[in-house]
Amino acid sequence: MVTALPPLAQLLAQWRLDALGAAFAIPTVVLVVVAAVYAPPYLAQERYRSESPRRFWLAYALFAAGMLAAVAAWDLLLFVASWEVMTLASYVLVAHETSEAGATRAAFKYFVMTHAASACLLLAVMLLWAEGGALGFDGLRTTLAALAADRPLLLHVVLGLLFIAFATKAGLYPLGDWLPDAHPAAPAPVSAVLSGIMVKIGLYGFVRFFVWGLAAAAPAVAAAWGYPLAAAGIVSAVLGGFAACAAGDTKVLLAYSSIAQSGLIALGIGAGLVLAPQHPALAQLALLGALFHTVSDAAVKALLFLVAGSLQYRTGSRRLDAMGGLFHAMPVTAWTALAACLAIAGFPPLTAFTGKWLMLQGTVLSGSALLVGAGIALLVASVLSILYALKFFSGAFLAGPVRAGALEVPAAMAGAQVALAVIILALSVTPGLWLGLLSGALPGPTFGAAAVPSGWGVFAVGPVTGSYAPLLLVVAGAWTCGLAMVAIGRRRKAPRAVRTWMGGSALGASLAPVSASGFFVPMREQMGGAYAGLRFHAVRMPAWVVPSVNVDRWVFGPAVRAGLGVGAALQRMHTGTAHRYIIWQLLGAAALITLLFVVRA
Amino acid sequence: MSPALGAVVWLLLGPALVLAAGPWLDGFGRRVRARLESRRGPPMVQGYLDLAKLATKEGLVAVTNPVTAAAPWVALAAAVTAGVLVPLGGATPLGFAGDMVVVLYLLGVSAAAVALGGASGASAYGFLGASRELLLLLLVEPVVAGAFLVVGLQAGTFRLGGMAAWELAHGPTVASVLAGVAAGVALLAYLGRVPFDLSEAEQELTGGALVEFGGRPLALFRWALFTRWLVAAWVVVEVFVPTPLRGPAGAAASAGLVVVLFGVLSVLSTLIARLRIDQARVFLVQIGLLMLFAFTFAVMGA
Amino acid sequence: MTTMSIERTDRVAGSLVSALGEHLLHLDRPAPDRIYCDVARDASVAAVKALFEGLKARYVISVGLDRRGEGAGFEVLHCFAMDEEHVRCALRVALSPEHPSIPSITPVIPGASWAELEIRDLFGIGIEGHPDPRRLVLPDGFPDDVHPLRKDFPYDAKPPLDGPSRPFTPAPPGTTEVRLGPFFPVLEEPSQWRLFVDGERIVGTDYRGFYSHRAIEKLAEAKLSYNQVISLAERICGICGCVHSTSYVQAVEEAAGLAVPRRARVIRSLVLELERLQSHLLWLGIACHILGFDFVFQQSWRVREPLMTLAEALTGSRKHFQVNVVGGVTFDVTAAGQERILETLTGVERETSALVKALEGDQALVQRLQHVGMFTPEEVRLSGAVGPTARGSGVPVDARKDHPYAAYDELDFQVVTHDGCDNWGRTVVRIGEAFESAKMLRQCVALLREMPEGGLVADVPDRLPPFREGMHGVEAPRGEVFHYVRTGSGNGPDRWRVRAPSYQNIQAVPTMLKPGTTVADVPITLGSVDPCFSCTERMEVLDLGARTRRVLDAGEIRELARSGRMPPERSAR
Repeated sequence: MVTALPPLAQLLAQWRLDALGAAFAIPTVVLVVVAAVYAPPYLAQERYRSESPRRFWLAYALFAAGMLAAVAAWDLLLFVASWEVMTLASYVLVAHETSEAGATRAAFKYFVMTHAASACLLLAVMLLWAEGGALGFDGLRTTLAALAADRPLLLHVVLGLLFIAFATKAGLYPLGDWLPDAHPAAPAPVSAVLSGIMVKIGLYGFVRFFVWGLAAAAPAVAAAWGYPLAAAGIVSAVLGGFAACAAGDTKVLLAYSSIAQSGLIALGIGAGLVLAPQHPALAQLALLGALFHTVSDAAVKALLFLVAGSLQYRTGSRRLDAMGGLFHAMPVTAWTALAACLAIAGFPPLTAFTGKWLMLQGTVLSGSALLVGAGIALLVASVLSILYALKFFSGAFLAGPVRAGALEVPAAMAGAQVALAVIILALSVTPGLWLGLLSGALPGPTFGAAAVPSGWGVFAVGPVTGSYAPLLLVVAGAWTCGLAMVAIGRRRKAPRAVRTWMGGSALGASLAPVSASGFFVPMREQMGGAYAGLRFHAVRMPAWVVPSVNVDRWVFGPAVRAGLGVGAALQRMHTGTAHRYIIWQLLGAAALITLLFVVRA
Repeated sequence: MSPALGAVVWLLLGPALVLAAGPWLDGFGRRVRARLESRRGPPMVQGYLDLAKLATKEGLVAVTNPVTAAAPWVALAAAVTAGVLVPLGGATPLGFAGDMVVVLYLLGVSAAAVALGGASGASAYGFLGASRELLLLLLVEPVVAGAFLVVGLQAGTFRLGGMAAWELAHGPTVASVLAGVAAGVALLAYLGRVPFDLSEAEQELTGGALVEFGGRPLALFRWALFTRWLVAAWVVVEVFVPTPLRGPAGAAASAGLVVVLFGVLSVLSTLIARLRIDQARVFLVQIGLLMLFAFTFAVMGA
Repeated sequence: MTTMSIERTDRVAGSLVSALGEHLLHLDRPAPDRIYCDVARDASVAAVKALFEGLKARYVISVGLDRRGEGAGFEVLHCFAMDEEHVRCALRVALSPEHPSIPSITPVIPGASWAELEIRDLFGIGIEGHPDPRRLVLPDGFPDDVHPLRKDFPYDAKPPLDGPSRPFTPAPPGTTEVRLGPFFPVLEEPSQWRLFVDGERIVGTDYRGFYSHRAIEKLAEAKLSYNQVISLAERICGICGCVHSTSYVQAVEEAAGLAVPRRARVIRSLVLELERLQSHLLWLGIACHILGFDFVFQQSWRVREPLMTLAEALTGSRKHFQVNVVGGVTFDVTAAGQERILETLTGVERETSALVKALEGDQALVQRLQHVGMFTPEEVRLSGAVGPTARGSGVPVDARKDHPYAAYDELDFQVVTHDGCDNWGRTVVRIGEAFESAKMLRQCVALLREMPEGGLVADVPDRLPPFREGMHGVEAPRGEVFHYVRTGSGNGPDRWRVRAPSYQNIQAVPTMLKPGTTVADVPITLGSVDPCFSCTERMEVLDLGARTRRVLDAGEIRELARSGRMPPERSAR
């Protein structure tokens, strides 16, 4: 491609932030800022004292820039370059706690997995470039259409590579296996951004390439790829939900919940792709639901990770067993956690309900067997999200003897949590407003604003297939409480606080007969172990199944061992740390991409 | 009456009506049970009397935090709000505020509030009760919701008014009858009545999730439970056996069907021993299969 | 003494002599089918092994005696039963009067644990090598060095309550501790079970009972006459009191060598079976209530009601029939009474059959009971469990057949057993026995009809011979009730030891709560042994005049109960 423009100007011309990009860019900016406010006091903890703050903030800035660049890139090469910057910078952040061997191992697993994915992405982009000759997104649809017409097999290979790349980033099972390892290792603000938005960039990839690009260029092919995507979503949503319920570690619980919520969104996108040719209206509902859920889950999940960080900051532990009864001690954290937990449980009138409800309409009402099945899976996943949300909240703040003392986190941390809680409430009560805006982000004319039914209010959403007005429900509920209060009479005096008695003696603060990890144990036993069982235990499975589904063993184990070997060898050669090697690699990648630009120019 | 005025009137009157009707079902259910047990049984208004008595008792709280204190109110408000969204006598004045999915979710909120109350504090009974309540929710919610989705799928909408209208116009189909049976049977578990009252199980957990509650909070939890019975039975009646009658006659016919359905459930509840959680799972999975059959027929258009 | 009885006692005595060998110091046969063997203290464990493991004797109970008043020392009797030979025997171990101690037999017979601890607590006889030496019977705070059953302890003494309390086993880390009791909906009497659970699955248990120990043995030995004790024995249990009074009078009759008239023996059997029938129906109701099946609970108690009215018509009392005196019974069953029995039985049998049919057809119910609370025949032997608890594991132990008393040698009945070894097995056994009881009641009526009225009490001498022993078992609804009586020099017993069937059966419950049992299964497993365990641990005192309120803890309540005054308020809570 030869143009008159000099390379630098040409480079600048390749950025464009359309509505779809903005739907991801705005949450990115918000979360990056909120997490940055939260981070300084958090990183002042004893365990991070020996780590370099300069390294953290440099990587953090690069990470943020990488994510923004990824959604604003209007060029395949820039997209890949930004993606790579995002991935490498986040690796440095995950591995921030260098003194902790577990953290380094987890970060390495993350590194290996996401780089395998990056390689797929790079290969796919190379193939697209080789075939279409253009790198800009403007030519993407043409390239895809041409491929669908002339070389469908190659198209499927390209799409398969993209699928692997995006699914890994989005944390879909089994490719998202890095999440439960990376999150406990990463500092809380990093986890918040990682799960809140970086995972969603993987989903952005799906929307950009499969919905925006492919569905317009080759609807039949897009519909075909909707099925595996929806299927991966179903599996992730249900298995992730089970695993989250069985988890006793706050961050592991939230990591599995990220897998589950990503699964739900993927399910929505997949359903949208499948439905587009025949039921555009339902497809639109499913996609809108998926997009809304992406935005809402970004805020909710980020807040939950910040809460987990605050709990670790004060109790020094990530285990629910070590917490309990903290409501009085950490009121601000507790209230914000309540908002987030009720939201992720999908309880109306809070946010997650809206997205799931739209996706449920899109899937079940289509009448297609697979999508109806997806709808039922969505129901199961929703109930699972209720279970783990309540387990997290009651385990940390309610169960057990009341914890005395003022353990509230510093103002900056608490403030960041409150900001996210306010955003969640704002998203909750005015779903119509946000859905209206998001419908503009869907690529028209198939899905776009033109297809949106008119008359959606700010406070109410009412497609023909359903209706939902959260604020009115709150009004009805409040009115009910008023009536009930009149009916049962005024309380004569304040209730008297008594101690809990059991077995003929009062339970004191030192005697806690309750153990949060005992919550839902019957489920762990009865539902066959689900995700956790697939990963770690041979529960009621033939011997050959277990290793084959144990992603850790057959991919990452050897890769990590090999990688660590190479790392150690490099360390010997360069007499530096593993991080220096990473920086070398970063520079190498930068050099490669620069080279590509030069070649192209 | 204009739709807007109707909505306002129902928003004001509806909650009062739902609140008032719930406790009657308790007295009725206990009377049915007493008769089967060769007893005279309490008066039909026993539900109201119990609530009145509890409301006058001094409040003793083992767990003092705002969430636990709010849980009984949330449980009641969510159940009543769900009731306000259900059609009555062919009219759904607040149909725009929530559809079938919203109703089921609100009933779920009500159940979850009980679990949240139970999981507060240091009582192992409450803790196990809450754990059981939520596990049961996991088993029963998809089955009941699935049965409603079958009708929604056939009607092409989740709006309760639309579902009832479709059911009236197209009569019972194979799918809707199967789904109706699944919903009816699963209702026993959905309402937490005897074979499925695992979370309270007096003999095992001395009241389970509610063990640390007394006085007004307990009255509210009980009231929420009665309301849940009413709303769940009512929405099953409106969706699976809607009455063609309109206005007060339609409302009376629906109320009659609700009483009949609740009576049948009370009989079943008396004649079945409490299940262990694993037995409940097997039972509900079987009902779930029935629900999947219903879906199969619905997808095939039967 | 019948020839058959002499022959078999000879045979057993012979095998005892060869089994005990040089350990045997002296062998005594004071009554038909009763053998007492003296063994040395240091040979006692070997002798117990020879009996329990060699001769397969069933362990019944260990009894402590304080014979210092007679110039001897302390004594421990290990009582056994050779059920197939219809002989009971006891190993007598003489101990020093100053520092008595005896090696523990619990390592050999786990079921002897409570009996030994009770001897330690109440007599101060040391138990060497007991695996769980925590205190058992004495209340919290009772001093360690005061032993109430010693003869030098006055029956109305009140030692200061500043001694130790019984500690509980701490919960293993990571488990939730569920405490059933001391007050719990399905435990009609106080006792405490601590379950250590992982989720719903049990990983360990701890038990604390004896909350309602009433010191009746001390009272009887110190104050009461032979016939006064009967009233006390009748009130040991609120459901099956007659078995205790019967067992007690028969032990006295055995010690005194009295022969009871035949009509009196038939009436004893009749009343005992009436008691069993109502007790099993009561249990069926409670078991179903535990399972959340109140329909059967209500119906079963309704069916039981005519039996209670019948008992009232016959004896003047719904419970605590009070039919026994030493040497016979106090009332006759007249022709009208006999008619009424037959009439009532017809109705009860018909309605019970209908109820049982409904129960057996309820698959969910049967599934809840089957394979839960597994209790193997070997565990039955080791724990010394008796009654339906043993018979539900296929062990046909039944005092009515094994050691006939009253008129059971004239009655035709089946010992109902079931090989399920689970809660269902124990349920089936009780249901079967209810019908057998009805059958026996009819036979008793037939026997009464063919014999002349009158002749209800034997001639009883004014003074019973002193220091004679009797040990007697009666098959209660819950299993064998065992009473040991040693006559005193006055008009009352010198030693009276009561062993209720639940004493052995409750000890066996932790064995039944096998790993993997869920919380939901615990109440019914506990209920399946039909445990028979009154006291307050916590009480709220409202002073309406002063408008104040206090919650008393266990210690304060003990003080209040003993002194009759409100204890002073302690500041530290």
